[in-house]
Amino acid sequence: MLSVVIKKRLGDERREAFNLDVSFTVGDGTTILFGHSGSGKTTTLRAIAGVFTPDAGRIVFGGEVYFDAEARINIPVQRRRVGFVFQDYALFPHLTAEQNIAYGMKAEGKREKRERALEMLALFGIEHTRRRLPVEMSGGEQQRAALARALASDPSIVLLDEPLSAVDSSTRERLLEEIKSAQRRSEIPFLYVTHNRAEAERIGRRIIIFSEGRVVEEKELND
Amino acid sequence: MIWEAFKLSLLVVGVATIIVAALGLSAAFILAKRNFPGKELLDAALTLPLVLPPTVTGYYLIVLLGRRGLVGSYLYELTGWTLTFTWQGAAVAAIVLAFPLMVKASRAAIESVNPQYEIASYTLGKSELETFFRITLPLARRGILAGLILSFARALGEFGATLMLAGNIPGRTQTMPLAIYEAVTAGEERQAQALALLLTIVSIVAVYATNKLSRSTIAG
Amino acid sequence: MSIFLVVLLAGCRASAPTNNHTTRANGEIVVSAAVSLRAAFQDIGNLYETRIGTKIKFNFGASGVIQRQIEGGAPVDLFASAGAKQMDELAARELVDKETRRDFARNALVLIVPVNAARQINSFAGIANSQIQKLAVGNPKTVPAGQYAEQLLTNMKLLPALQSRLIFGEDVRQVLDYVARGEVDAGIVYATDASAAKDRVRVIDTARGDLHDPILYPLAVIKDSRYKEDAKRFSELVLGPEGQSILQKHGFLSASTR
Repeated sequence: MLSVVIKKRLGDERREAFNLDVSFTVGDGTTILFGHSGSGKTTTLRAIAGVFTPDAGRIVFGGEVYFDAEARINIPVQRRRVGFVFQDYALFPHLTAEQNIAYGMKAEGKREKRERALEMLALFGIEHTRRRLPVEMSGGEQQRAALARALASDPSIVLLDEPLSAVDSSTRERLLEEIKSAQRRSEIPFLYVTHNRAEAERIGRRIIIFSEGRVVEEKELND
Repeated sequence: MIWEAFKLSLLVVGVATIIVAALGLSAAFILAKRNFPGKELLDAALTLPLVLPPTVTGYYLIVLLGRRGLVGSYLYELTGWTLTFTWQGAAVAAIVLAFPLMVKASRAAIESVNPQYEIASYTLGKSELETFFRITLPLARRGILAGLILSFARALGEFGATLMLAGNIPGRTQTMPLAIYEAVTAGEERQAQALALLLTIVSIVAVYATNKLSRSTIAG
Repeated sequence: MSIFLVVLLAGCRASAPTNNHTTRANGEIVVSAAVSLRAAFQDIGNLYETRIGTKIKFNFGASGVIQRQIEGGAPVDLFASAGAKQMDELAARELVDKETRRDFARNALVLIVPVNAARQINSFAGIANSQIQKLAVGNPKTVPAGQYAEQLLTNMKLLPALQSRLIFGEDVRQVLDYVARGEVDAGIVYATDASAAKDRVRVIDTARGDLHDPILYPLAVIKDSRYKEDAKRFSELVLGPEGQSILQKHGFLSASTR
């Protein structure tokens, strides 16, 4: 269970400052953070990842305190065991798909890592990209590799930041299904940021709606 | 004379380039990744040898490291050894003059790496240092290599500060630029031509390599 | 002060040979002279400017460097060298007016140490067995003072023992600076240089005049000069009683004394 309370003031005194003030909890399955761009959903995601530090608040996951402004706790990104899937994949350009996926693995030996990487590649149907560099892969292939990479690092939660916005619509359908089954397989919560209603309803169990830095609605969706 | 100068240049520039690479990368990392009060002042101070006339830098080096210098006097007292008139002194002059080039080029290259990649690496559990070596450096390698080549060329051609700190002693500190100077002023045309040609060829190769490297775009 | 001079000179050295390409006022003459003549010539130059009215631009440097500059076509009107070799070579190339060539002063070689160095040696002869590790002399290839020093050491049979201890300076003032700074233990310079730096170096010994070629300073008007009359007037001033007395005030000897 993830509990999030975040407050952050962005911008200076003179202009209209953007005030982020949210509070919500996240359970199992895929939870959607929904809203227009600038509503604060991506900033919230980044705060949970540890990439962004709020002014005040508390983030607790599975009983472990990731962030507590008053108690001055701020666990660095590396120790938070979050998997992150970026909007533009952010696959390491100088590494192959296999190397990307193996990068975050905690397994010991080279052989073990190679085997697990091959497993993940097969799971997502991209074995053929094994020795390719990201620049030699299609958008859909890259996104699958990015998801595989995040999962391969054995995270406790996966954060996805509008993962399908850079993918063309024909591949989008398939990828959505794959993300859905990946979540079910991994049995860890997925936190999915999007501004696309259709995506949200297809994949989410719960939806948290953001507007202008605040949570305005939380509801369950049909699964 | 030519071969002695050539061998000496190789030694001095070889040692200088290795040290400049290590120190330059470290400084570039600190300047790119860390914030502290007086940071830009430090950057300006490190860049100084790039803009000061080499003889002024040479003067400061003597004042600091000469036998009776601020630091050199202690060295002399402790070991009876001094940097002046030694190839090590020539190497120090080359290092000080080439260092700013390495730092500037490397810092720019490091800062141009998309931070998304570094963040991705952190989310995958890697420390800042490991990320620097496995992600940032490989992605910045073209700019860093260009900086290294420029430093090498600068060290190879270093004259003014070398003359002041290490002197012009054939076989001991007379590097190729100093040898050319002596050949010209002594009227030894053939020697001067041969040395100048050698240096020119090396410099052309260095510039060509630098241009080729910086033309290819860094991925991402 | 010497530090400043070394820096300035080094800057001059590093610049292109034709550094006198600046515009010339009417009749302004360019005199290139050896470094050791700086103080004396500046005094004579002031005299010339008040007496004759035209300006002088001086260029002081190592005699070998100036020789190359003149060979390279630098617009110089009069050359005063610290050694015959440079003048001989210019004469052989027909670059100077031979009738205007005169010896105008003489110098002596002295052995100097830093002014507050512990007393270790008393004479040139004592260098070989002493604790002197570094002896600075001018670069014999390009600096006349270095050539004279080399002759002296050879004739005193000291050169083989001292060869590995020699530190070359690019001109005589650099040698002086090395000694004054304590970068070397001792040096061989002209008597005039030592007297100009009395507060920073101490003279230990003066070389016997017959152990090296006479250190005669020749001057000559450059053949391609466009201001020969004015250059000759300067030459006459140097050779005349007033010029000679200024030179002797700075430690030079008369050219004709034997």
